Amino acid sequence: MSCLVEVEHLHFRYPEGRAALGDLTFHLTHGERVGLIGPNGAGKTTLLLLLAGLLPEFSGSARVAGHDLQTRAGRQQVHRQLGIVFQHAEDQILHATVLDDVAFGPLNLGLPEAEVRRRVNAALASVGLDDTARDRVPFHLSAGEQRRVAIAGVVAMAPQVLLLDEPTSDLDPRGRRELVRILEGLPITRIISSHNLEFVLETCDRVLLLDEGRLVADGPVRRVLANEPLMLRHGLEVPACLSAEERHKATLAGPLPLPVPHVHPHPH
Amino acid sequence: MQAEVERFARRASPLQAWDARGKVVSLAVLTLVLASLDGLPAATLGAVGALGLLVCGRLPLRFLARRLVAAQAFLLPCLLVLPLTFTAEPLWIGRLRLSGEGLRVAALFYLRALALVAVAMALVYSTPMLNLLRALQELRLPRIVVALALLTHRYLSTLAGEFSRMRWALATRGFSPRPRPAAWRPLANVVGVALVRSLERTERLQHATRSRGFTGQIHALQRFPGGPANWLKSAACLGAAAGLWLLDRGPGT
Repeated sequence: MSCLVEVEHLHFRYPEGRAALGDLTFHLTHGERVGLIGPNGAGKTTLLLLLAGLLPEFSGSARVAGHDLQTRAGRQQVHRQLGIVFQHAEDQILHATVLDDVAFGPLNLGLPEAEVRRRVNAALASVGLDDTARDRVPFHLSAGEQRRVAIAGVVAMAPQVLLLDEPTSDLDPRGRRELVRILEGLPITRIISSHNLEFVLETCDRVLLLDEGRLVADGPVRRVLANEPLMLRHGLEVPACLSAEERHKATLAGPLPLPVPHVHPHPH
Repeated sequence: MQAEVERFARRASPLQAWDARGKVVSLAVLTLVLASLDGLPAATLGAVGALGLLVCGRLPLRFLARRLVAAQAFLLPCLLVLPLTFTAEPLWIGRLRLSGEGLRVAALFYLRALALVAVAMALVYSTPMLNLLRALQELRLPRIVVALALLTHRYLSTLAGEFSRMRWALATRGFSPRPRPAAWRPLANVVGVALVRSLERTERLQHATRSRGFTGQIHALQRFPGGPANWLKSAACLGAAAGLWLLDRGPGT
């Protein structure tokens, strides 16, 4: 199956010189559900911003749905194929009604009004917001509802890849369950960055473990999360819901192989 | 704050139903005429008319009164100071010397400013910001200016939110914002920290708008209503502006 996201030998430094990502290589194919985990400062959010075309200066290669993020044109067009939901949903809301806010992205794509309305209706339905929510002021909604509006705003753009940065950070357990249900209903390739490892376990099949900007593990979610020495070494804990037997098996299985880059070296 | 400005902007009223493009142009002309009035009769009529516009907006009286009272904090000092600082036509009230010309200028200034505040409130509180900005865009205001206005509108609410959270943080730790030298340093810190935090949040907001394809062009699902009723409203407003100007500057004055 063709790659939807191709990242090879990616390095990124912030303008002040701090290295955020180092020699990152991984690929995602259509339909994959990937969790991005790691301690604070591991580079998870930076990686998501970079994949969304928001950070221009990096070395290595990154392509999303055929868009080369090294080029200005690629970064400007990537939002047509990739949507990102930020950690603080309120920061993502721009307009004074839910309807206007969800329609913002599709209108920017230059779609006809009828299509925009169809997409807005479908997106609101997919996140469980009914017709009465359209004229509500998003800033007056609960954190969980704001999160749904933010997801609807991105889903309405019909992306092939969905990035979610700490989607459970301001949600109560009910909101978290709702989010799991919403994500189950969205058949989109996705990368979810989260400290909530139970949530990652529920919503992802594969996991990438980052630490200090480097990829230290890439494999099936249960196998990585159950590997106690690996998790402890990188400042994480094995989710309590994983059985002792799973932990034991994962630990015995040893370290996970990292993907081997198979494409030409980049010019940088 | 963002929600507060638009709280009643969708409330059904003749003012709200007025096509935003015609409303912007007509009220801009009215504003220019109001600002140029020189005579008290025309300024009084202008102020009454502008307050009448607010009534047409069917905005809650309490909501309007609070904002008009806040505006007095800027208007009243001039009303009090001008009669004391002018020298022409002295009027003595006991040992206090006032100026007849100063009183006239103060009244004129007050009425004109009140009218301008009322017109601005009528425009802003009866028009959803998105419609207002789209109207400006259609009236050929540069795209960058309109985009800046949209983001400023959004950023102001971010800034207000940060200040409010910082104020709570101070209050919960026993800080009292009474005016005393010991309070200056923490208050300066609050302003600094709130600005830095707002900068971070506005950066996230900028990322969010860019990732949803925003390039500066504002689009919306709602169409401008147009039609004869809107032309009539604009014509009435422009007619009123012309009438005021004639009353103030026309033949016989």
